[in-house]
Amino acid sequence: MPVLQLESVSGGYGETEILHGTNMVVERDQIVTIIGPNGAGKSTAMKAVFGLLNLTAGRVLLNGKDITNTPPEKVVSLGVCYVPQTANIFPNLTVQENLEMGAFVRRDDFRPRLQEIYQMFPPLWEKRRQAAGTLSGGQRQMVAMGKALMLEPEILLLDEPTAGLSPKFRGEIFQIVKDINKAGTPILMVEQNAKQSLKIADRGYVLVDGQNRYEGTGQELLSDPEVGEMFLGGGRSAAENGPSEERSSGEGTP
Amino acid sequence: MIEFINFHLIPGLVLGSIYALGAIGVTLTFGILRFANFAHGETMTLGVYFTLSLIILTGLHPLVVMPLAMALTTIVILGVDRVFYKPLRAAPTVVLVMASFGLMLMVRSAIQFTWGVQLTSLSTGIVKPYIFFDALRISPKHVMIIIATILLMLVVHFLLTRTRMGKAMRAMADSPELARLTGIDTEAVVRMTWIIGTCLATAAGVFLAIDTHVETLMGYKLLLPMFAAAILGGIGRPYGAVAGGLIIGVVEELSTYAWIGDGPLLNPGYKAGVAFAIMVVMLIWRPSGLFRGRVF
Repeated sequence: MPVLQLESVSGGYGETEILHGTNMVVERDQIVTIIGPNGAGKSTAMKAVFGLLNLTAGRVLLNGKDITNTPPEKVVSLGVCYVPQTANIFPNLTVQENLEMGAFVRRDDFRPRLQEIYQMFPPLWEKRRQAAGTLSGGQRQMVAMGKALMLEPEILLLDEPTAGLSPKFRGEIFQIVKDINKAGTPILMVEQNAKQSLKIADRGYVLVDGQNRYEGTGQELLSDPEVGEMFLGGGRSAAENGPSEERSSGEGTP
Repeated sequence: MIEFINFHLIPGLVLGSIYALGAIGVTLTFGILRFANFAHGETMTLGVYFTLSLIILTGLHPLVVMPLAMALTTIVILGVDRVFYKPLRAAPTVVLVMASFGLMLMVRSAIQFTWGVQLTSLSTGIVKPYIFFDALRISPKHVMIIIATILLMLVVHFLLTRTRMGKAMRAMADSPELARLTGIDTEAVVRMTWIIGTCLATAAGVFLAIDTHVETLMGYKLLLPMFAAAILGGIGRPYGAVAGGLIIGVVEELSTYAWIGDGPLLNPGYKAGVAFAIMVVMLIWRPSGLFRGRVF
C-alpha cells in the first residue's frame, strides 16, 4: 500500500481552482519530486496533502486512510510533516527549542530522538543554544528538517528545500534528503532545481496547469527529450552537462 | 542629589515596574493573538476591585489575597475570550481591536455599577519610610513592590524559557502560521497567554493601588504608558516590554526633576505626555522597537 496517494485532487484558494484532477503516489522508502513551471500548482499540490487547501474533488489517502480536508494540526499528529519554503523555523527560539517544538505533539520522552537529530546534523549540536534566526541559510534548512523529523513522520513534505541556497549548499541539502530517506522516511518534495532533484528521486511528476503532464522514474524523466526541452532547460545534452551549468548560475546565499 | 534619588529615581523605578508588568500582557496579546488589547487596563482595574473585596471580606494584606484575585480575574478573562474573541479568531486585526474597545467600555461600566465610582484605597494609615545613611528614604511599600515585581518577572522568565507551553508561546509569537503547521495546540497557547497577561495585570493594578489609591479609571489611565512600553521594547518581546516599562517610568519621573534652574523641567501635569512622545518617536525612528519586535 502506498504511504501517500492523491486521487484526482481538485481545489484551490477561495474561488480560484489551481489543481484540476492531480494524481500522485508515494511508495514506502521513495523520494518523489514534483517539478514544473511557475504557477503550475507544485506547492499547492503539497498543501493539498497538508489540509491547507480546500479540496473540491478527489481524495488524499495516508496509508490507505482518507485524510481529505483534515486540518493541518491534525495531519501533523497523523505523522505527516511539512517544511514550508520560507519562514520554516522560529527565528527567536534557540536551535534546540525549535527541535523541541517539532516534537510538540509527542507526549513521550523525545530526548533520544533529539540526540539522533544532532547526529544527523552535527553543525546543529554546536549551535544548539543559539537563536535559530542567526544561522546561515543551509543550517536554517537543517533546523527546519530536523524539526520536522522530531516526530519520526510517516512522510516528509519538503517545499523547495534548496531555494535561495548556493550550489555548494544545494548539493549538501540533496545529500541530506537522500540520507533521511535511507534512514526510512518517504519524501515528497517540490523543487526548482529540477535536474538535481530528479537525479536523487525514485519517481518524478511534471505538473502543468494543475494537471499531471509527465510522470516516471527520475531517470526516465531526465532522459525524456520532451521533458528536457521544456522543463530542464534545453534537451538531453543540457541534462548531462547539468552540474557545470548550474555552477555558473551561482545565485543565492550560502 | 539625594533628593533626586528619593523623589524621582525610586518612584520612577516603582512606576516603571508597574508599567512593565502591564506591558508584558499587552505585548504577549499583541504578539500571539495579533491585536492591541484596549481592555487590558480594565483587566487591571477588575483585578484591583476583586482584591479590594477580598480584603474587606478577610481583612488580610493585599499581597496575601492577590493570588486569589488573580485567579478570579483570570476566570472572567478566559470567559471573555471564549465568548467574545474566540469567534473572531480568524477576523482581521481591526475587528479584534474594536471588540476589545467595546469590552473596555463594558467591563469598566460593570465595575462602576458593582463597586461604585468613589475613590478608595487598599490600606489606611501612614507608614514611616526606611531611612538609610540618614538621607536615603525608601518607603516600605516601594521596597515591597520592587521585590514582588522582580519575583514575578523571574516566574515569567522561567515559564517562557523552561516550560513546553512557554516555549510554544514564544514560537507562536514568532510565527503563528508555522506554529499551526508544527502541530502546536494554538488554543492552549492562547489560554496561557490570557492567564499570564491577566495575572500580571492584576499584580500591576494592585501595586499601583498600594502606591496610590483605587478608582475605576486607574487601569485606563495606564493604557497609554503600557502600549508605549510594549512598542518601545518591540511588539511580542516580553523582555523588551520590561525594559520599555522601566525606561518610560523612570523617564516620566525624571522629566519633572529640576535639571535646569529651580523649577521642574516639565510641569508634572504633562508627565503623561512623555510616554506618548516616546511612543511617537519610536514609531517614526524604529517601529520594530529596541528588541526588534514585529512590525504591523
